[in-house]
Amino acid sequence: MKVFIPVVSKDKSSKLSEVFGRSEFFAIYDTETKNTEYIDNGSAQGARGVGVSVGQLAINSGVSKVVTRKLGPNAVNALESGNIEVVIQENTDKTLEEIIQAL
Amino acid sequence: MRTIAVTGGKGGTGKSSFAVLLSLKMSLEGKKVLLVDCDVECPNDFILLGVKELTDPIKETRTFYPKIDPDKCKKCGFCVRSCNSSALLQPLNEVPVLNKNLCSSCGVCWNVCPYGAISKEEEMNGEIFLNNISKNFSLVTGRSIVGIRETSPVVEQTRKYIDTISSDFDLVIIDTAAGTHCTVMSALDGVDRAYSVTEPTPLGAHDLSIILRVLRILKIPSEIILNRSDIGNKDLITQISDKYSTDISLEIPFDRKFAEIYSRGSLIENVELLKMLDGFSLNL
Repeated sequence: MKVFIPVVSKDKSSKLSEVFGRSEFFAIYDTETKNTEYIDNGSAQGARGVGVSVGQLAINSGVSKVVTRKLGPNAVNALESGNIEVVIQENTDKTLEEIIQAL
Repeated sequence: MRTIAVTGGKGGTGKSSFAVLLSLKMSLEGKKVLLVDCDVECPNDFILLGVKELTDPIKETRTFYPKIDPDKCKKCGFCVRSCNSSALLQPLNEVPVLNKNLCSSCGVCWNVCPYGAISKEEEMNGEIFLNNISKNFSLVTGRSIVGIRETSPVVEQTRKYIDTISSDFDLVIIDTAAGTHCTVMSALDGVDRAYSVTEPTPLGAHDLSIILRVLRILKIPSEIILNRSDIGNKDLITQISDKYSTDISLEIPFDRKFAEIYSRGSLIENVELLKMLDGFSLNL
């Protein structure tokens, strides 16, 4: 299973982003291979509809789960139509490492 | 026939009041005046002119949304990648779905689809009303349907409608929405001159400088109308006036009585208000 996580930097010690659609980077963690891939968010500065673009990015990346602090209505709809489970993690002090361990 | 616009950037500076008073003044001077309310999301010129309610639209405005034929769609995702508004979403290996709220009806999707799977579906997005206020004075109001996100097509179609009747008038006065976004640009399109109504406040000055920049790019000659000129800080506006070489052609001091009449929506019954425009003449 692949998990999609908005992060503030491209390393395991990164904190969770405050935002989803406008997060600068995303980590995609594969629970089987234990590999983490980092991608830039081309939509971070978009005028609007960024939740849909990032939802589409998650769908195209083949992820089954999203861990995020919060997300907007466009992202909710997009992830829903992609059958992607959303886990809300309110604690932004947690590092990517800790989030992965808790999966 | 000349077409002028009343605009200004900031909301609540008196654009509609000025547009209505100017229309009244010009019609009383014998000109045939057509006032066009292009603030389609919340038109209010009709209220200031004593029209109780907008009824019997003379025309409906329309917009188009993409409709994807699931039998023709090959799920290539080209339309999704081409959509700048992120209005199309494609669940994995499925037919893309439309989020109407984000769609700007730009038409890219139905033009790029390699399989001709996307057609245009028409939908009503607004109405146009015509009211005859007096022998010399008519009002056209564009009004978008509540909840529509993209309202500039309503403005564009209101302007198109005006083209069909404007030859009956000497002067067309376009009252734009606040702001400097697409609906305002559509309202300003092709006017001969623009009057930017502002107030001597930091926000008034800030938004004035943006609209003057827009008018400069659109090559529309313009003037500044300074409302409530005696309260606030007039220097803020004179600085912008100097910077953009745009004259302040009228200063209207604050008048509590005017505010009271405005709040009752009875500008038209109070012709003495026209003294506020004393000394002002249209630069035609």
